[in-house]
Amino acid sequence: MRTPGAAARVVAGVSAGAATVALVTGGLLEVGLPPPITTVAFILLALPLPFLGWLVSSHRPANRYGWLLLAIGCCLGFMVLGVGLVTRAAAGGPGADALLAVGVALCTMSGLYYSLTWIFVPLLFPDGRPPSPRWRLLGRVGGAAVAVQFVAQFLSPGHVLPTVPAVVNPFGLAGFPGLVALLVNAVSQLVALCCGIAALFSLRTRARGASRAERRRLRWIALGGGVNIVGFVLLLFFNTGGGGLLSAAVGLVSVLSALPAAILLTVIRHRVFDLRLAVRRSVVYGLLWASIAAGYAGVATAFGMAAGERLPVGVAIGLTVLVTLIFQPARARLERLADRIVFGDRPTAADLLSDLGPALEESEPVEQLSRVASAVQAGLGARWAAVTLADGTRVVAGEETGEAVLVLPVPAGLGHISCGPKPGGPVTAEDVRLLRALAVPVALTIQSAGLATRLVNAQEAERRRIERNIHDGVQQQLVALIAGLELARASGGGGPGTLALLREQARQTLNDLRELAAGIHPSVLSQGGLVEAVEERCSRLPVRTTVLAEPGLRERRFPDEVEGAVYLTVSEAVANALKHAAAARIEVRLAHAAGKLEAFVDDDGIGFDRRAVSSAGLDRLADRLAALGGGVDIVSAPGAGTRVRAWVTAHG
Amino acid sequence: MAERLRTVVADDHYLVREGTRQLLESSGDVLVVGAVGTADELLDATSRLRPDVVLTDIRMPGGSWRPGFEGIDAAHRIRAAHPGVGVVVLSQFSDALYAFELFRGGTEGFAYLLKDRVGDLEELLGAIQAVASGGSVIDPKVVEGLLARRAVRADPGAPALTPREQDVLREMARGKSNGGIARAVSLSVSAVEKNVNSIFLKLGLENSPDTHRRVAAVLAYLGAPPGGSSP
Repeated sequence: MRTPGAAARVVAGVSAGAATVALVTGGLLEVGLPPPITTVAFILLALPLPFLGWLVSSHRPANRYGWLLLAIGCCLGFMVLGVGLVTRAAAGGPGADALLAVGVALCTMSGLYYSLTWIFVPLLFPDGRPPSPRWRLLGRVGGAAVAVQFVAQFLSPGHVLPTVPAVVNPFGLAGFPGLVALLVNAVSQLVALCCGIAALFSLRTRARGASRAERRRLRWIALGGGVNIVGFVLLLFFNTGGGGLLSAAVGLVSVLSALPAAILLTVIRHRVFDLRLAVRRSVVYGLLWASIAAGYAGVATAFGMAAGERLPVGVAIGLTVLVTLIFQPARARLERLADRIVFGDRPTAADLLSDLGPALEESEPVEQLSRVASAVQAGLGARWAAVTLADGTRVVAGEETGEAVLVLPVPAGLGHISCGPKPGGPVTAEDVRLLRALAVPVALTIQSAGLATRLVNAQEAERRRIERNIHDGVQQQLVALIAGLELARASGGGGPGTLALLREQARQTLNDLRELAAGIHPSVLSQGGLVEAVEERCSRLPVRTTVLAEPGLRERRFPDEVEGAVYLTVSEAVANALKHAAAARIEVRLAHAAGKLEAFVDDDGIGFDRRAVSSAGLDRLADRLAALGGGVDIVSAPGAGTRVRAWVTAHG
Repeated sequence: MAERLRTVVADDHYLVREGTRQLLESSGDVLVVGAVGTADELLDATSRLRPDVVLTDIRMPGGSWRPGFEGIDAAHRIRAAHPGVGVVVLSQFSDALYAFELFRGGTEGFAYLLKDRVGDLEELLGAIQAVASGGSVIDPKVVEGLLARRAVRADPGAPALTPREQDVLREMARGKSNGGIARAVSLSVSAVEKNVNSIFLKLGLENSPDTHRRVAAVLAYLGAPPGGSSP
């Protein structure tokens, strides 16, 4: 089973070929040439299973599931061959006995076919392994039932096929052992059926903890398995004499097609087994589309013809046009349905916009653009999509291969959206509409990105202005005051005590002002960078504080708004640690990695309940950090200290 | 009475400039030969008036100077053009960054004082006299800041200075001799010598009787990044 590469492909090809030949031969042997349409339909319905088995096992030889499908396909093929041989043998002729023996042996495979399909197709989907070791037991019981049933059916007396009552199983046991064989056959078949139903429930186990996409695949398999069992019951009903031909036809189609169709759908829509069937997808879509178009044309034509027989030509044409128009929306809806079945749930423009809203809200400007690009790519099912800004900034989602097939300008000359080829088919009017709908949020995103930066820059400029005013204005005045006082003191004017007191006051004011200035925008931040400024801030604290900066970070400079935001956050966090947490030790850590500048402030203070306390200062800074593509989170619990983590996006 | 030191005062703030001028003149030790408001005027006045010492604000508006570093850059240009002129930079910033910028190329003849020293005539005069004779001075507050910085930089291997040694280090940074330090911290000269030796041993620096070189050594130590060139 683990034969790699070429050998696996040969085995898979030969088995699938044998199954196909057996199917066609068996079908034709049963009815003779030329075959009636029902037999052709039966063969066509049965062929996908060996094909699927070949597809998966030759492409993914390590996955047992492909081999399972192939084995079931072979069982089906040989069973049909067996039916053909038995039918022929019943007509007599030379070698009829040998034909009968072989045919009966092959017919016995019908039990195998059902049991394997019921139990293992759902149980082992999609990786060839049961969902958990617990389910292995079901596999064992089911396997045993399959084996026992095979032997029992082989030894059961009586007729082999309901369609050929004259033929009796030559291997059937007579008398009491025959009765036992019949009983064992029935019981083991029932056990296998029960195991199959249990296996359907294993899909629930798998679904638990699976992603939404996986759950969707599992739903297909569950549906396929269920329909298959219902089909079997219908067939049983028919074989035992009840029910009409319709139930037989529905049952047969269900048994033959439900599971292969479900698996094929998961392969096409959800790329199960990692098989890319891009071309086949468009073929499937084309077939569906053609049948819808044909049905539509048929309705319109039939109505036109019927009307033409009874009405004047003019009225008939008018009525036909009317009916055509009335059925047009139905056709469009059917086409969309076909589109959805083949390509999966492609979001509508409204879906995309409503999904995009919160995503944009939560991300920073550049990331917003990439979200938009991803939305376009996903929405159109394109290989890639890109948002290009007027300044040349370009954000691409997906792997950019192939020329752009669709380019749309963003309103207000802000740039354009382009998208690459669609593996599933040509660009439709729906795609263009989708892209148009997205152009508006893209424009808003671009604008808000610019706005946010401007906002932060304006704040920063304002802070600089305040800082300069304090240093060059008030502070200088105080200096002058001190100088004047000192002069008065030195030259003996005024009482020395008064003068000294005044001087102290003046100094205190100066100190306060310095603190104030540093709080607004420390000059050391703009001149010496973040690490310098944070060290400076922390060196003035009355508790043990360490600042750990990643090597090389000291020399790094970031945009003013980035350094300012991180500095102020650290400043606020250490102030909180002192004021509220009664910390005895504070550790500040600065790091820059993967385009992110991060600051951690840990303290060993009393901590607090996050839900009960909020810091107005940190909330304000969170806004600031968010505008820079960052954020702040605080981990704290009473008695367990506090950790504040702040980060901003900072490239370069 | 010794000859008065000829001094030029530069500050863009009129009140500060005049207050400083009057204060210095009142001491009788200093003669303010010029008072200017920009770095360009300061260079011009220095060339014209040939003062012994220049007292300059760190930040003055106008001209094509590095914003925020006008006083420091002017100080370097003055020392380069007139090696005999001592420069006292008066700063409103206690951040060590600016002090390092001033002492970047050497400490000789430079003093970095915080502006509030204009409230301490003795200190101010001491710095003026020190730079006039090629010495150097760092404001004790800046040294304090540097020591604090040294402490927060996670450098567990670095030997810690005792509080007494830190006091001595601060006085040393002021450009004081062992005798001066002894008076300032109320210790015997021999005790100060012991502390100085211990400091230099701990810092892994070479001791020197020359006060401005001692300042340079201390600065070099305090300014070195953790794990950098300091041993």
